[in-house]
Amino acid sequence: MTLVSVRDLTIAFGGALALRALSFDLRRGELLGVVGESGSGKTLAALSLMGMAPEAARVSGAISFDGERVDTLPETGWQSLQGRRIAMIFQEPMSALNPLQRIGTQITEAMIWHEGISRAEADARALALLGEVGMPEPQARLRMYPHQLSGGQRQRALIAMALACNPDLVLADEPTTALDATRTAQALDLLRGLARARGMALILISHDLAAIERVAERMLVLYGGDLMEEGPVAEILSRPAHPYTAGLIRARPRPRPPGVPRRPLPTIPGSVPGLADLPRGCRFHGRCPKGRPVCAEGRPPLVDIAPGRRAACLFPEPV
Amino acid sequence: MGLFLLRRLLTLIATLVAVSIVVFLVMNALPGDPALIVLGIDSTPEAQAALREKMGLNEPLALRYLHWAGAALTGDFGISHSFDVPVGRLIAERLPLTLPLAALATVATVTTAIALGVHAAARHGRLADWGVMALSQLGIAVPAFWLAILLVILFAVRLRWLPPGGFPGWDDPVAALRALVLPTVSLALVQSAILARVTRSSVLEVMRLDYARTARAKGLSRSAILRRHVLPNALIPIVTIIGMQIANLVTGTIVIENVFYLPGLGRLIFQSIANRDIFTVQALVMLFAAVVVVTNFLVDVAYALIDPRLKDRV
Repeated sequence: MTLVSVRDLTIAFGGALALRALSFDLRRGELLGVVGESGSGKTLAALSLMGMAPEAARVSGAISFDGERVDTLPETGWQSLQGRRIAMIFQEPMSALNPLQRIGTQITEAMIWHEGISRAEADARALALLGEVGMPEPQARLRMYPHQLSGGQRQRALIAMALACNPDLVLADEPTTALDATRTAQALDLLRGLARARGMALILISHDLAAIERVAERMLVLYGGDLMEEGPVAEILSRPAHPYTAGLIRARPRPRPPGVPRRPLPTIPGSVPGLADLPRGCRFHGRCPKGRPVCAEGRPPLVDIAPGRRAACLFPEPV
Repeated sequence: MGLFLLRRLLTLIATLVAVSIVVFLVMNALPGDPALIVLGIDSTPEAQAALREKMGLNEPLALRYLHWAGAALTGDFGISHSFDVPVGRLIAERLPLTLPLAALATVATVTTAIALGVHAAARHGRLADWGVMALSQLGIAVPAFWLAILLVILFAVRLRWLPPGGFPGWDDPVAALRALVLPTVSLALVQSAILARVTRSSVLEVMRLDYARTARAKGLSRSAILRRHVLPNALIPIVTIIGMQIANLVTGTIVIENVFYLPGLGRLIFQSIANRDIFTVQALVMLFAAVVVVTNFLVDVAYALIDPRLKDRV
């Protein structure tokens, strides 16, 4: 059953298209990864799903949530979805938490706001939530301020905050950038486990293919505001269709088996184009090893290349 | 919090002692013989010598400081020679005017400034924002005493709504409050113009921060985000400026009480300086300095109440 349906979502700043006609669907309880470098439009897309696109942005296209058009909602209409049915986990747990409020107050705020429950009931739920996200000594943590928690604990508090009203969809925007490798893995497993246990859909936004691989079933690859490739994570990672995806996968750091000589990590030549100088045609053609003059002529259409897989490339790899 | 308060309290006391020493030394370094000033230049040298002995001016400086400071702690600031009454009584008589005036001016400043500043920030870039900014620019540019004169001309002379000056005393509270309206507005207008700008920029800054976005993602209304998350976090610079403005009020009342002919402390220090009334001046300078020092202490305590991180840092 479709929970979210995005059609031709386009976001422009002045004349520059930061996101170009993005379309995708998300099923209830599905775990979707969105991968892309900074400037790919992945965060903008997530903010639009929250009704929180920047004021300067011109947004067009259609977004449906649970069968209803939401992109046309007024601010107050969005407010009844935000935090209640759609929640977001932000990047930096330290700056995303209000430094002056206790953790408990911040977790219960959305419950009391949306559901009008009593403080005692909200406190009990917050305590249970903190237990669920694996916070040590949850009772004491409820009374603490963000600066008294460790980075990993703050991230767990943010996750508990997002789950406060048992949403249908959680958007996690680079939720682990502030964490070390061990805590990253723990936080990702926690997110996946919580989403599975609650039947909650999750969109994990990351530049890190390992994070996507650990959490998501299906993934979108964004580059320069365009959807380059879409499909099941395992298939894309083993047989990428788009040269950009292939480049990303080659550029992943991997453990070196013993005896194998050290060699430089492959990179994608060039750099991500800025909003002001997005190339015509395929946005990747200038950096693409398979780029030809025809790639600059028009945007390659997103075509089905295998069951459940789509790619926007004139010369896709065989899959 | 206990340790924090104790440390700040000790700093406060040390500062007060240091201030009192500076005040005492400065007053003593001033040219002019107090006995000569009291008795006049026609007095005999014997009379002057006798008075100097009586005023304790022949004792060593350190001893005189200890006498003065010790007596001041019990509320005894000596006798004012120009009024011929204890300085303590002079101050006590004038406090019921200056204290309410300063309190009214502070309350008026803080409430208008925060209301206008938050309003402007919430409507950033729109007409209301521009209006508040233009008004506050005007308010900052206008000197308080000149504004006071304009207010008197308009509301007292032309419209005859309010008295032009003087103070009837608190026996008739309505008349007393009416007499304080124009002085309060004169004092508060400039200060609130400055504070409104500080409030606006502080609120705008916090609205851009990540936790304001988090609050929005919870589905809170704009006003709830402002009230619960933005304003408390924007308070630190606002409280800092309020503290400085309370210190400014001290000098402000000297000017305004003279414009409005109000018998308060500001007018008293003006008269005492003119009369070379050294004990009164010394007591008032010490009192005003103490107001500033105590205000700074209260600002520090307010910081700790607002921001739990500051408490933990001690």
